[in-house]
Order: sequence, then structure tokens, then C-alpha cells
Amino acid sequence: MLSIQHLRKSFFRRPVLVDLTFQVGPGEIVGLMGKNGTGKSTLLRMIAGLSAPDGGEISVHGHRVGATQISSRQSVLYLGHAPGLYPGFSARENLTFAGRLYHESADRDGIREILREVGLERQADDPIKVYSQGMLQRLKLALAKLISWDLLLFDEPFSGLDAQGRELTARFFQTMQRPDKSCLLVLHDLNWALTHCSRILLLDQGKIVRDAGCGPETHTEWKRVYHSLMN
Amino acid sequence: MFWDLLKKEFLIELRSKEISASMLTFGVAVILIFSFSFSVSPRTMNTFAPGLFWVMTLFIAVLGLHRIYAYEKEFDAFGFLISAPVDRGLIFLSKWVSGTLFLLVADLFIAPPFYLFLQLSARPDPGMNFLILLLGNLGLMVLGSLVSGLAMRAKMSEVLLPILLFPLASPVMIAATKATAALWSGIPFRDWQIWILILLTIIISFGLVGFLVFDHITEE
Repeated sequence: MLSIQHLRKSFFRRPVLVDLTFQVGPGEIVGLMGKNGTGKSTLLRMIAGLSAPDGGEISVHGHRVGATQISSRQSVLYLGHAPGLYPGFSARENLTFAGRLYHESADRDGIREILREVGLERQADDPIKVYSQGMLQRLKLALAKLISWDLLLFDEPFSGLDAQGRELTARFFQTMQRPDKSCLLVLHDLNWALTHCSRILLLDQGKIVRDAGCGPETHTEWKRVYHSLMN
Repeated sequence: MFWDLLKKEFLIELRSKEISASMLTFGVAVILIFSFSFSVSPRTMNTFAPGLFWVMTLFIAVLGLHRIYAYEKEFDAFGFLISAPVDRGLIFLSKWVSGTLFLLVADLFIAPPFYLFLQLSARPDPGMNFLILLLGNLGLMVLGSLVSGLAMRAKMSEVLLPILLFPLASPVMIAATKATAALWSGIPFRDWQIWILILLTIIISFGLVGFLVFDHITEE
């Protein structure tokens, strides 16, 4: 599904990602963890084709990711830190426009149903500039439900969410545990990652310091490694 | 897809009216300053007027261009747009076409007070006048859309935009001013058609360049 080979990226001569190599297979939910500034968001932006690597190669379904490669973007949905939507548009209008961008044939009822599922039905026609952080996060979840993707890149899906929103998001990822879908999530909650992800990549100073599965037998070791890195 | 992108540009402007309001207010303010600052004979004013009009249009274009890209920076809607499976050249085209139409509408509203306040006596052919206006605006906006795409990722994009655009826009400004001056002076078309050809060349060549390189311009 996703293949990354010897990826490098620097900002102002400061290396952010150093010779990164890993794969994400179909059906995997991979948690990307590490301290702030270790290049997690940069990695997601490069896979989405927003940022060009200094070296190395990224491919999705065998299609090389690059500025001119539309085919590689066809099956990838990137949901970054920012809402990535139009503040003057309502949730319904934003979803309609996003659906068109991804060639989805979502009708009015379909969009209403998705907004109901994420708890935004009552605010569906309000401009999203009046939304709270949590509501914008729910709207991103609505986008992930609307658009057919094979690889979802989600940067901090739980940021700003209340307990109900967290529950909603967790349920969404449970339903996405399917052999045809893969997720790469930037996370900061190790317990959640250990429970819901199939694998965790731990990044430090632009390198993968640990890449392992999350079976119950690994939890103690994961907690030890993670806490020793974070402290 | 192009029509969806274009519709989005118009819908945003219809809601906010930020671009048209700022362009029109600024345009009227500049006309008033011009009319009160210059106490010259009508003959001299007729000579200067084409240049003044295009300088005003250039300033208005910069205002509009800044807003066209600024609203997409706010929530990083541009990031979502360029990560979608859309030919980024179409995004450039939609910005160019919508920007030209906003500028054209602003110019059409500003032209009567400009004519009135500066007490111009020229009676140019309206069809020909509109053609020069359209080509001049297309030329300014093709360069502006390209430069804005480059500058928008920079922290000081509002400063960077005029610094990069003004030198690049000089050929468009010269050609549009010369063509307007010739038309307003009643010179036959065959004597100044070269300026129209120059405008067309700039529009076609930079339009193609923008369509082809916008992919790379928008990448970080």
C-alpha cells in the first residue's frame, strides 16, 4: 500500500527526517509517535504530496508520490493539523465541495446522514468559522467518512475532542479495520495506540527508533521504551 | 472540475465581498487623490490618463490577488485542495480566470468616476476599449496568479507579492498603457496593433507556464 524508501528532509539545513524506510500494508492501522518536532507531521505532508522530499522515494499502490502525480493522490486522504476547509462555507458546503474534489457522488441526504453521525447535524448550515476546535475535528471525521480512501493520513485525530468525540473517533477507526484500508495516524496517547493500532512507529530525531506490533505481550516493553524516550 | 473550482471562488467572494469591496474602495480613493493632486490642463491630463488608469489597475490587482490566496491560507484549505486528486494546473486557471473577472468588474465600476473626475475628453470606441481592458487584466492576473502561488507560502507574502509582481508586470503595463493612449488619441489600429500582440503573447506564454509549473510552485 505505502512504501517509503530512504526518505530525507531538511529545513534550513536542519535534518528533520533522516533516511526513513518503512512500509504500511493493507489493513494496517499504524500509529506514528514521538516527541514534538521529530518530523511526524512533515512525513504525513510528504506522503500527501504537499511537501517535496530532499531524497528518497514515496509510493502509494506502486504510484510514485510527486507534485505532478495525480494517480498517487487518488486513494489517499490527508487530514492535517488545520481544518483544511473554507471558513466561510458551511459544513454541508465544505463536504459537497470536498466530495467533488475526490469525485464522490454524495447527495444532500448522504451528507446530512454523515453530519448526523458525527453530531453536527444541527450546525450543518452554519459557517465553519464559528465552529469550536472539537467541532472542526468532528468535521474532519465527516470528511473521512464521505471520501473513499485506501490510505488515511490523520494528524492528531483526537486533538480538541470531548469524551463523546473521542469515543466517536475511536469507533470510526474500529470500523476501518478492514483489509482494503490502511491508516497512518499521528498520536500522542500510547494507551490508545496500543489498544487500537496494529503497529507503532516511534520516531526520534528524524529516525525510526522502534517499529513493532502492539499485541498484548508487547505493552510493557512499549511503555518502557516510550516513557524513557519522552522523559 | 475547473467549473467546480471557479464556482467555489465566486461563492467565497459572494459571501465575503472582501475582494470587490477592497478593490472598489481603493480604486475610488485613488481617483479622488489623482483628481485633487493634479491641477493640469485637460490636454495634459488626457496624455497622462492612460498611465494613471493602468497604475491604479495594477494596485487594485495586487489587493485582489492577496485576498484570493489569503482566505485559503486561513484554515489551510489550500493544503487540502492540493492534496486532492486534482490537476493543480486547473487550480491556477481558476484563480487566474476568477481574478481577471473580479478585476474587470472593479475596472468597469471605476472607469466612469475616473473619466468624470479627471475631466477626460477622449471618446474611444467602447468595444476596443473593453478589449484592451480585458487583455490588460488577463495579462496582469496571469502574472499575479503565478507570483501569488509562489509567494503565498512565505511569511511576508503581502510584501513579497508586489516586490515580485511589479517588475514582471512592466511589459503588460507598458503595452496596455500604449494601446490605451493610442486608442484615446484616435490613432488607427494598424499603427498600435503591436501592443495588442505583445499582450496576447504574454497572456498565452505565461498562461501555459502557470498551468504547467503550478504543481511545483505549490509544493513546499
